[in-house]
Amino acid sequence: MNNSTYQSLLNRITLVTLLHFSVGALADGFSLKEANTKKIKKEKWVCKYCPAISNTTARITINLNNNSGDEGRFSSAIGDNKKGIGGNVDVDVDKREQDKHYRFLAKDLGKENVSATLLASKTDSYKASIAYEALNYFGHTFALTPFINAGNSSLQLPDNWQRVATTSEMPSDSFIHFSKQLERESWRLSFDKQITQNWQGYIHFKSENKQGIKTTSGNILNKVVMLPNGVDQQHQQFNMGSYYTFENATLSVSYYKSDFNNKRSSIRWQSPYSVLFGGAESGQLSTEPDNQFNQVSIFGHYRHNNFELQARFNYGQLSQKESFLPYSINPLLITNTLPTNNLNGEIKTLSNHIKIRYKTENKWRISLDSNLDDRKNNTQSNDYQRVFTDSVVLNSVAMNRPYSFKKTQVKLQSKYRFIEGSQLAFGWKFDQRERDFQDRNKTKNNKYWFKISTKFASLNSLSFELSRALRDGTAYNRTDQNTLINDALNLQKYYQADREREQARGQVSFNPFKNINTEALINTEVSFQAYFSRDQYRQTDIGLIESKRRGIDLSLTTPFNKHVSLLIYTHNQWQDNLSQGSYWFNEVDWHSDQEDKSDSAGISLMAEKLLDGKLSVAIDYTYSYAIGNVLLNTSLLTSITNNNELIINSQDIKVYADYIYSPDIKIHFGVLYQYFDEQDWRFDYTIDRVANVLGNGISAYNIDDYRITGGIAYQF
Amino acid sequence: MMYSVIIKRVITMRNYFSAFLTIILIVPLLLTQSFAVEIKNNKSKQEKIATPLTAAQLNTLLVKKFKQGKYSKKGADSCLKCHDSESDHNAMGIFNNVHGRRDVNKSPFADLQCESCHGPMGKHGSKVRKGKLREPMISFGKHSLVDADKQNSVCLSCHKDQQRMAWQGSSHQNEKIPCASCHQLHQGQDPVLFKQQQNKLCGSCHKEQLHAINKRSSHPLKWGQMSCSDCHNPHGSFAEHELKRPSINETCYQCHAEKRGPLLWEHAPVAEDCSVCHDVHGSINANLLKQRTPQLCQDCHSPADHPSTVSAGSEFVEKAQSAFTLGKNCMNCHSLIHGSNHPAGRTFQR
Repeated sequence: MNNSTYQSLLNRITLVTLLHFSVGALADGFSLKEANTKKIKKEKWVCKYCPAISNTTARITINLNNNSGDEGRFSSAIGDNKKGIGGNVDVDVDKREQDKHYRFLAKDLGKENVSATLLASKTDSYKASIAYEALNYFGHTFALTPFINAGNSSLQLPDNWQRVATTSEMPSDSFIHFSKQLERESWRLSFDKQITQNWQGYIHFKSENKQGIKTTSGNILNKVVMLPNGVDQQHQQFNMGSYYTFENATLSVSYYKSDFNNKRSSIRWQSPYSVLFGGAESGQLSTEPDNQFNQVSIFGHYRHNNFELQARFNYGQLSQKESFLPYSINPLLITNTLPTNNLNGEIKTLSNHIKIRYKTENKWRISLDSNLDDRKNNTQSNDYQRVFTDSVVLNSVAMNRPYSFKKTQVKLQSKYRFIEGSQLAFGWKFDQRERDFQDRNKTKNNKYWFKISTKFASLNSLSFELSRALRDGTAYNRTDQNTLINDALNLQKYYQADREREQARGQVSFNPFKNINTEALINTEVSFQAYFSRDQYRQTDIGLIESKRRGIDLSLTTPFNKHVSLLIYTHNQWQDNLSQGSYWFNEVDWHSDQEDKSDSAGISLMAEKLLDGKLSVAIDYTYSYAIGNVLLNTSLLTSITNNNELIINSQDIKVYADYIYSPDIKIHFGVLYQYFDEQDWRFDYTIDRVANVLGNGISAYNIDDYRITGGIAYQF
Repeated sequence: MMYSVIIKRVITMRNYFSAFLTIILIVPLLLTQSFAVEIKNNKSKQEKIATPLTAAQLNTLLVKKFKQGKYSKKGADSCLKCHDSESDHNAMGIFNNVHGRRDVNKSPFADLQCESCHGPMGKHGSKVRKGKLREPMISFGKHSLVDADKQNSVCLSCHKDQQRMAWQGSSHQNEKIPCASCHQLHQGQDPVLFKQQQNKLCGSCHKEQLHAINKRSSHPLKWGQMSCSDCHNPHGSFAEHELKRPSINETCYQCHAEKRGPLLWEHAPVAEDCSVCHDVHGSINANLLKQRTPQLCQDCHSPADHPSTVSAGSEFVEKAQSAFTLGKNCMNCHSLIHGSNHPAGRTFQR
């Protein structure tokens, strides 16, 4: 920690001390500890109407499924990539012995996505669990590649492969199919211990293996090929801590450790193209290196009458010491010795969060939040020879930049409850970011907002919120330029640029049938919500100029009676991003306006206890539609084009029914139907459509599949 | 041609669907207006009905009842006489979970039974006089007029653990969200503990996020493989947006630790904040990107940084063959966009 950080910390502690108030105590709610039980006589509390509760229950459910398809997106939705008939089993065993509780829960045994948990606990003593989960992401099952060993760390072409200049000359019958899939398998161990009445400790551990095949791209000069990249990674997370509860305070300390290990340090591939300048026949990409993160945290909470203080401090260290790959695997290139064998990367993180709240007579509440997040990168900078895609060694060197970030936030908020259920809130938030090695050293954002909300009846409420934020900062000096652009043109990266942000949100809920004496509609709630957000970058000539998002939501929920309920909703959203650019570096000469519209709607109907209380049915329908359009105005080239870039249409229907055949047997039936149509021309291209990019084949999804499930559950 | 035909069909379907929704929503409103007038006229002919208490009156009465401590004579039997399985306010479901077990120490039923949470019965169980309303009990849920903080004081008197350490001052507490708005105790399994139901429940208020998870590219929330509470702590945390880890990036690194680095060549916005480029709940663009590439890249990088020309309008048509627009466009070459540890990886191509 440096001196300025210490000073900042000291200032915060001083502020906290000065804000300590002492006011009269007020009633605080209906806590069980404050219940007035002096007059209770429990001799007649025999609970004769309470039902008998079994201490042990065991339920086994056997399901049979029929899947009509196994294409990636549908398989990801159902957690299974087997087409046709299959089965899975659920097990739920629950045992209680007074204060002890044991449970074994397994779900979808037999499917690709599966979970199982074993839990043991004793009230006021301990809670232990071990859990296993497998989660799959399925991609396309018929992706194409020229490599014979998809997923290997060294990708090879067939022995008889003839290198050619363009993709259209490559023999299409020699491409091989492969499936994209990523599986995450995780184990979790948890142990929580009640050491004394006020003291608890915990240890949590999670180990996750991620394996499968995804795609990345590799290029030699301008010749690109999609690589079926094998993934074999492990991530272990360990978290232990202890917290002590006092009368008016809580203190907690914890330690977090995260260890990432990548069993693949690189990907090599043989280039399918003719050899170009530099003579490179193969390339080598680096993969994500092993890294470790350790962090200690201290949390404190203090409460005295109407004053509350919460504070948390985190100190962490991030490190990475993976050995470097060579500059190039091309034996024809002559390169210098590396300045060091590994990065020896080290980042220290410090964050502190302080929250102060004060309330008086339940009418005024004032809160102050202060956050500091400091990411200090202590990695050494060195000069590295500039080698371009295993083909060219440039004369210049490049120095790596160990980026550091510091975020300081202060939020002051006041709320006034003018009548019960209604309040007015207003506040100010200050957000300062400091960066090194970047275009702008410091940015400052000031946000002002107010919100009014009222709940004037059981189902009726109204809220409205407005905010405005202004961001500016130190002088903007572009750090990366190969060719100078006109000084009159201002390019500001949008996450550092001067920005005006305006936001508004409104919501109203009401019951239109409150005067009706009909039970079916008396609890109906109609809700309408609208929101608007606009970012304007007035000092930017090149880059993002304006971004807007707005939307409306309308929903209706009604429980017709205690067993039948209906939900209908619809949501429409518009998003626009306006960018500008320059071809010739003299003036702004192109404009791009991405206009996106997305709609979603849903109907959900649920009916329980039909047919003498034995049957429950539910229908769920979701509709989603999106269209992305770009309006390009390239005035210098005198062309205006309006192109639909993508259209996405999705519909899902879920129907299920549960029938209680007997006290021990329940029958289940379900249907899931999914329709998904993706028209995105960026991804919808054949493997050889682009002369210098060898793709994976058609990648747009077009799904029209269903899954039928029938099951029987037996309870022992 | 194919796209225009599809667009027409889709627009027609959307028109039908919009009309259907309009009918569903507007017709009941129109019908109730006529009913409301009729019922109102009928009411004026009937005897006067007692006016329900306002929120302020209700809270005052309940505080008074709580302090008086007039508990029932027979405990749960006094309540279950009426709140049985045939009742509109059926309470029997509580016996299917731990809250209804008398043999479990610290369970509400091991203590004051129903009155542990709903407060002393007082006159609630007495006969109701004509023209009067039954004395209320502490009720829970978002539609209850009982102050949310007071509702929650009941739950928090037992549920004080590390998950709820930051509840006071959290977003949900500030917005007066009662615990029972999300948690259902009078049934065997609390729906919020199941991922898919949890996501729908969160989405019932966070409608923009519910809309986002239905988009083309999103985290696997829609089908319950992930839940909102995998990243957020709804009971409060110290991080922005009630994230479980201290920052946005640290939350992402729980599952995407491969992006954490540090790396030799870092992409500055990646190291600073993943949400600079990604819309984490969902996007119509691939890979959860806020904006489609190459424009997303061109928002920060001008052609002055790149020896090649930027994409022209002609490269955005269906029949184009440009590596700058098709496939991964900029990332066809700059594939390691999250950063590279390769000595020759300054431009993220190695």
